[in-house]
Amino acid sequence: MKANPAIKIFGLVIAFVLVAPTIIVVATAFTESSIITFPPKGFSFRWFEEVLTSRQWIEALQNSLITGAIAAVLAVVVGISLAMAAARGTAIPRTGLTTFALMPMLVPLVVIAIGVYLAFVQIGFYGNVFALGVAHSILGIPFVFINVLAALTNLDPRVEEAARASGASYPITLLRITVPQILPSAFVGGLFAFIASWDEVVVAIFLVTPGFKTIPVMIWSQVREGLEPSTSAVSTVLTVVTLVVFGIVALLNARKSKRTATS
Amino acid sequence: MTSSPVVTAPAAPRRRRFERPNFWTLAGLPGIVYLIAVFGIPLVFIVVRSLTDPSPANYAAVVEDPLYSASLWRTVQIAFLVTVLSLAIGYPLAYAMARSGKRLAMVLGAALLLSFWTSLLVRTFAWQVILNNTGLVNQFLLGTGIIDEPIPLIRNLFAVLVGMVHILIPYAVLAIYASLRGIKPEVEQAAQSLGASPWRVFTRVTLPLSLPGVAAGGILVFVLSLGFYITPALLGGPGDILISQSVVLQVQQYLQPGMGAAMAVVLVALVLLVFVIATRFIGLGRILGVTGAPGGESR
Amino acid sequence: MTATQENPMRATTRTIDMPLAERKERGRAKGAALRLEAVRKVYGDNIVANDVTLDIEPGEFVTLLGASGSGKTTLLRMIAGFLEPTAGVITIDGKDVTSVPVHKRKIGVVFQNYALFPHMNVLKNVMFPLEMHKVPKVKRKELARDALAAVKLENFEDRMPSQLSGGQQQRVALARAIVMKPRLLLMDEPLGALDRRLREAMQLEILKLSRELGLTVINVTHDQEEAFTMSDKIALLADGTLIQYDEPAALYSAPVSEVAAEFLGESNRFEGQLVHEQQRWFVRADDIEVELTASAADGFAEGDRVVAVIRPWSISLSSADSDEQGSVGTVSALIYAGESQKVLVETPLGREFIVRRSLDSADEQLHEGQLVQLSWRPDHVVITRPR
Ligand SMILES: Nc1ncnc2c1ncn2[C@@H]1O[C@H](COP(=O)(O)OP(=O)(O)OP(=O)(O)O)[C@@H](O)[C@H]1O
Ligand SMILES: [Mg+2]
Repeated sequence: MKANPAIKIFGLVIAFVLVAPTIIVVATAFTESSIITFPPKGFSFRWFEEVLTSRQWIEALQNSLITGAIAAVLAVVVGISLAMAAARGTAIPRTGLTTFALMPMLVPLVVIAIGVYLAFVQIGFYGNVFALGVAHSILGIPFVFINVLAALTNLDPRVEEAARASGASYPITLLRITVPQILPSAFVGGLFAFIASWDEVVVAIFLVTPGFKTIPVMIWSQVREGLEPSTSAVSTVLTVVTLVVFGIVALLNARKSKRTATS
Repeated sequence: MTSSPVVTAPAAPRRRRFERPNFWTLAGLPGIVYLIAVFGIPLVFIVVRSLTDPSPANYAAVVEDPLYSASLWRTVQIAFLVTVLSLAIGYPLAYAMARSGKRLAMVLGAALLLSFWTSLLVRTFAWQVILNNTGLVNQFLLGTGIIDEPIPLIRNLFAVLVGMVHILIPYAVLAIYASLRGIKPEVEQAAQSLGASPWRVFTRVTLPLSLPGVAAGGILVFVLSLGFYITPALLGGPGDILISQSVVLQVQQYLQPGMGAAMAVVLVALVLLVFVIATRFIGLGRILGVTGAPGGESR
Repeated sequence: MTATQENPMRATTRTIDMPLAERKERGRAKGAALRLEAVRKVYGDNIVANDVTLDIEPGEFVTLLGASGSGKTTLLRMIAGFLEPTAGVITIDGKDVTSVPVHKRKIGVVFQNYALFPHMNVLKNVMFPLEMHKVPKVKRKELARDALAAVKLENFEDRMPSQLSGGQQQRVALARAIVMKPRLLLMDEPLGALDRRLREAMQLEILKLSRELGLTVINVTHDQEEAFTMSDKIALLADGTLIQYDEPAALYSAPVSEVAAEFLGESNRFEGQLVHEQQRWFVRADDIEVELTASAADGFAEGDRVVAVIRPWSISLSSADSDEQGSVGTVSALIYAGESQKVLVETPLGREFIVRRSLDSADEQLHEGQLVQLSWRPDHVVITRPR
């Protein structure tokens, strides 16, 4: 049954409202004036220039990228490991393990943040990309776990048995047959994990130091002080990176569905 | 081995032995250890801190001090409102996505995913730009002469509500959309062929069948709302803080981590309670939109 | 009951192209000897393999045959090493391999759904076992190509498995299984997913290939025709128990029990008492008396309850007025099935006979409702124990 036109129009309006704020922020980044206005006055790259030539912003950008990469790699490794036990392990109840792996999605960010703060600060593990990367990996693990678990449950166990019969030991089978088959899914999960870290503020606030900041943390403190076009410019950079990663995911998914359609 | 019918050993009582861990369990151990270390232990730290810094009296304070109990109560109210609004606005959008041509569905879906993916911080910042005294809305109202001086649209619960609903609508839509897509077209067609008007088909067939999706989306939105921090912190006023803001304030400003920890425990307990109750009726997988998780495969 | 399209006996004689003894001689060098000793597998209270003892000689092609759920796959997976027996011993060439892990057993396995490595192309799939067994790199390609040539797939090296048809995938799986020249090849319904024509072609190819390589092959199927076509010996399983292990011809002519007789295709069975009168043996039922030879009665005693089995191909039909011994009945149905004709004949006492005749036989035309005389030779009657 088709939706009636009124509902379609309402849907379009809501869809527009959903994306409009982001578009407005991006637009205000190109203003010539030194206060945020919409519609923007004139057109210039002045605020991007200011941001991209500031050492502080560049350092924050580097910190964010490296933190995100560390978080993603850790989440991929840990997520694969957890998904393996959940998909095929014995001795540990499956439902319990799955719930545990998805727990970071359920527990409020603020709680994770102060937990990590209390624990990490105790051992002096803060104020660098590793500490924040580890903390952020918690947020990415469920994404990888979900993707890899789905891939593993769809795998044909006979393929691995065929490898065993071909003379591959258990670990070799894992490395050469199982992992390559789930790697695409793990990679997509890793991209999600990167994004989760890339725009994360709450956990970051607790682990940064004056000498170590990430982009979202800088935006956060700027926004609390007042509205500046440079914030819009950085927000635009942040959003563009997110959308690029999003585009990669969409591309991979499209390729995957094409492949399964032809086989 | 020959089995003799006469001298059979008495059947050994079945012991509940531990299942032997297999290779995959071992492969999972590093992950389990890691998640316990970086996620489980910090949570334990919170609990320990809440009980020892200085004492379990923290919990008494959380309950008794009107300031804290007020923020807790306010949080639940806001979460409830956000849930209702997100579902009310999200349902028609989900319906339009599920029941229209490919082109429109794609446009709506793209907008949805775009907002889903763009940073929460950036979107909250956007609402500041839009709602502040010199922002878009006030400018428009001033320009048309409806008002003479800017009305305060920001630093109040209204702004918090707008920001949170805006961020959470996609969660509601995705859950509802999934259940709408799960309804077989024949079911609606059958009702139609029996003479039901479109409105009756909707109220008698489509809506009831999509209720599990509505419930799943509602629970997810409600639980996420309970823990929101950035949006209320940037858009809310100083007088009406939510529970997660209180947690941060205690730890960062008042330097009373024990107190903050106790409130965090209360917050987690609240969230888990909602989940435990909810999963009696709907699978966790469905709430989180995960197919592999328990209960996730059911539509 | 399986509906056979033609006499399975013919199929066996058609495809055995070399005497078994001679093949064994050649096979001894290459194929492995396999022995199962009281192998048992229990799931909870369910006995899936019930003390199976089986001796397979080098170079033999053995088929595990049985109804669905009879434990064929379980037995094969224990031989391969994917499953550990609850009890019992499996030896290959006299060595106990019960606790040897799969990858050290040096066997080839072919699965029903092919189980190719989806992320590797055809050549890499076939080279994988060579790599695992540390065959020098320079030789791998050559050996893999030989194996692909053996299954007639020379020009597909760079294809991915998803770009192959079912039959082609099965050939790759076969090539991968034999590339290491294993001495034991295990196949679990390797042809189950193929259509009939392709299946028959592949049966012959697999048979030829295994003969050439002198492999010991254990094949699982529930298609009795396939079992008769390909096997030197058939192991008949029912509910986890090995009920008979013999050459196809022996299985056909001397089923050990009614269950066995029933499984090996259509048959006419009469339960009755074994009687010995005037140097002649009979099975006597209420409505019928069937004569058999003394050798068929071997191992049974007078007065035993037995089941007489007469195969549909062993019965001939003639007009009722001819005076051969036997019984009389009415043709109740004529069914054409390929090159043969199935005739159902009902006796006045309500018993139904299944008769098969070849269509090219010069026998007279029959029509429904016709009165016919049923006759068979006593040496075509076998007896077995009731279930
Ligand atoms: N992992 C298991 N746990 C419990 N029972 C099992 C298990 N695997 C197999 N079975 C049981 O063992 C019996 C034999 O199974 P098996 O797969 O060996 O049969 P099969 O002869 O190969 O049948 P098919 O022709 O259908 O493939 C069946 O009753 C099955 O239900
Ligand atoms: Mg089977």
